[in-house]
Amino acid sequence: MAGSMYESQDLYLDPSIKYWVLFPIMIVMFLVGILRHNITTILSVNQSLSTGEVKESLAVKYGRLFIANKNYIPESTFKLRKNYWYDAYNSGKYLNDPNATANGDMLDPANMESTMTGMKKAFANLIPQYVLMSWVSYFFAGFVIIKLPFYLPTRFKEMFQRGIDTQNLDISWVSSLSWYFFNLFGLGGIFSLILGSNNSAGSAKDIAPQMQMAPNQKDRFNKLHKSLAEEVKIVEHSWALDDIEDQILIKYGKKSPVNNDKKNK
Amino acid sequence: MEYHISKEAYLKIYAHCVKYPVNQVTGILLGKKTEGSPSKVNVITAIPVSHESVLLSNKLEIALRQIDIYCKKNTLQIIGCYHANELVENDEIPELINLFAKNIDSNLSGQSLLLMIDNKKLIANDDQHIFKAYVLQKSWKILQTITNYVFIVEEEGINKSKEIVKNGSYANIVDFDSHLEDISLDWLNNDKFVV
Amino acid sequence: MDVIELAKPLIDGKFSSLDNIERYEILEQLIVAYLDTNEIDKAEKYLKLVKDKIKDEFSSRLQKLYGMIEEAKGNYEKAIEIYNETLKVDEVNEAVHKRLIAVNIANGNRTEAINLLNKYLEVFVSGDEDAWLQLADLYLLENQCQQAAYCIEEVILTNPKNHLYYLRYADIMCCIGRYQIASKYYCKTLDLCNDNIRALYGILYTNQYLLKSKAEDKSTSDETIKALIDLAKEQLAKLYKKSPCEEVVNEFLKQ
Repeated sequence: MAGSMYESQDLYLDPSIKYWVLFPIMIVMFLVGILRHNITTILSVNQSLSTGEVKESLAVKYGRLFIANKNYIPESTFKLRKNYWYDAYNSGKYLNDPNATANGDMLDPANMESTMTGMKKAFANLIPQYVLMSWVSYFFAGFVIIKLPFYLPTRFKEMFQRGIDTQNLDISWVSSLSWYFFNLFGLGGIFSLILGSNNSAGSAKDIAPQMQMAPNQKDRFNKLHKSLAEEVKIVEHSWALDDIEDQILIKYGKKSPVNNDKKNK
Repeated sequence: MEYHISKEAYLKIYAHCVKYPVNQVTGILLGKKTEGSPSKVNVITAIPVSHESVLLSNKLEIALRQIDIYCKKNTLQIIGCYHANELVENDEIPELINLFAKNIDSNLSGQSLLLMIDNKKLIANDDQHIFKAYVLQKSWKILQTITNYVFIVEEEGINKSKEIVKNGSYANIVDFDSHLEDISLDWLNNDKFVV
Repeated sequence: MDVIELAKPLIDGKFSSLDNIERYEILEQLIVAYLDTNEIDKAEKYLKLVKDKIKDEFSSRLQKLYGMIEEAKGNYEKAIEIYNETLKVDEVNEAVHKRLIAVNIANGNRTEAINLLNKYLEVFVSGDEDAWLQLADLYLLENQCQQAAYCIEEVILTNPKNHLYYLRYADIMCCIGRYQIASKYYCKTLDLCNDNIRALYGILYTNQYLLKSKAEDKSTSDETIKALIDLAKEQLAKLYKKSPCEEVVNEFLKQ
């Protein structure tokens, strides 16, 4: 009875398992993934932004670039921009809706469409997963289908060997449900090859239901602009070109880098 | 006063314009000015300078200084400049070119030539030359309207201009801008552009 | 011309074998190529194919192509009309905004083009470097160098590693007459792009000027200025050794 977990247990599996279990599950999941991708694409086709929305999000992008690269422009123009953008961010000049409040009422008609689309997308991702999972565990339960090439701790045994109630069976032998999970993660890579990197049939991220879509924060940008205003206010200018002449002279060997020892050719 | 444009000069200017059809192009005219009766201004060759979308004066100045040196080596004089505007309908003389040409004129002590390319004629592709010639007399006056001023373009130049477009050899012309990108290109002699 | 050569057989011949989206993208490129080479009738013929597919639906891309055909024919008023109508429906279509501006430039209507471009850049305030560069060119043509400099500063902020922007900025600073700043920006260009000929000429030019100018116009020591002039001369002489223009340039450097 002493289960020898260190010896590999060889089980002889019916080869037809390969054809009737492994491949069908993989093929079905693959097709479902493509179907999901197409549906999501159709759903997102109608999502176009308004001028106001574009403006406020690009204003944020601008602010970040400005803060990152401010040292490459002369100080006078830096000051000009600093003052202008501090005022602009503070007064909400570039905001779509300066009066937006945090909890954008989800039933509000203006919000409705984007919330609906978000929900549709979430469902399109979740439903196939649940359906597939129950299908797999219903039809393909009760036997092991594959041996994993690596060793896992005992905890996983319960998950991977669902439906197989032996205690001694080597953890490497897993049930079809685990094959389902492997496909879930693995096919993500294949999808990005076939559908391009921006596909909606990817794996792990869909498992956690996309709850950030639901509380549609209308004032997301309002907050961003305010915080950018603060950042812009405190940022200081340190001209990168201040000693560029010396840098060039040193680079071309006309001047030695030591300060006190200037060697001019 | 006779103004004579040689085949070489005409073809170089033509090639420069055709090579950069969507940009404004500028260049310098070289030749000899002789007194006598009649006084002649002979445009022997042209040196293309720029095809950038916006022309800036510092580059023109550097080009001019180098052309000056080239002239002394080859016993030529800077006797004018040429320019083609970007837009077809625009035949005004841009301010920068105006000042530039006046500068050349004063260095030459008068009688220099400003050739504005008539873009419509360039497109029309018939047997006329493509220029609107100007001379400075207090302000820029069209040469053909001044009495006793004659403007001749060597016939062979006009004929051959169709050829260089057909056989693509216009692409061998090099100006100062191209030279700055690749200094192995000779914009002063333009040897590769065979006339 | 290459576009036409490559795309035409694809469209005419294996028409059905291309994926739908790809096919129409290539068709669009083909139409634009025909407009570039002034073969307007061919462009219209292919445009009909697109029209048949889209039928009555509104498509901004299709409208843009209509506008471009009118532009090619020279009917600028009509083109402007088409673009304005399209923008009423599809506010954020960058391509159509830009065509509208392009028509005004082709029209010679520079002030209107500047106006429209400014409005466009109020919304699309980040990420569109080409728009800022075009605006800078327009300002320079109108002799408003200060504003042009502002535009180039914007692109530097977006992309501070591109030596061409620093070069442009330095050129404009020369125009304004701020030779000290110009010199610094030419130096930066040289830093980012070793042995850049334009930068070297620029350094030579600006520093020769600075040497002769008053103390209040410059912020570097005469020593540095002279060192930069020498550096520029030396580098240019070295680089020109392989050039047919060597003699002339050597003379030039002696001045």
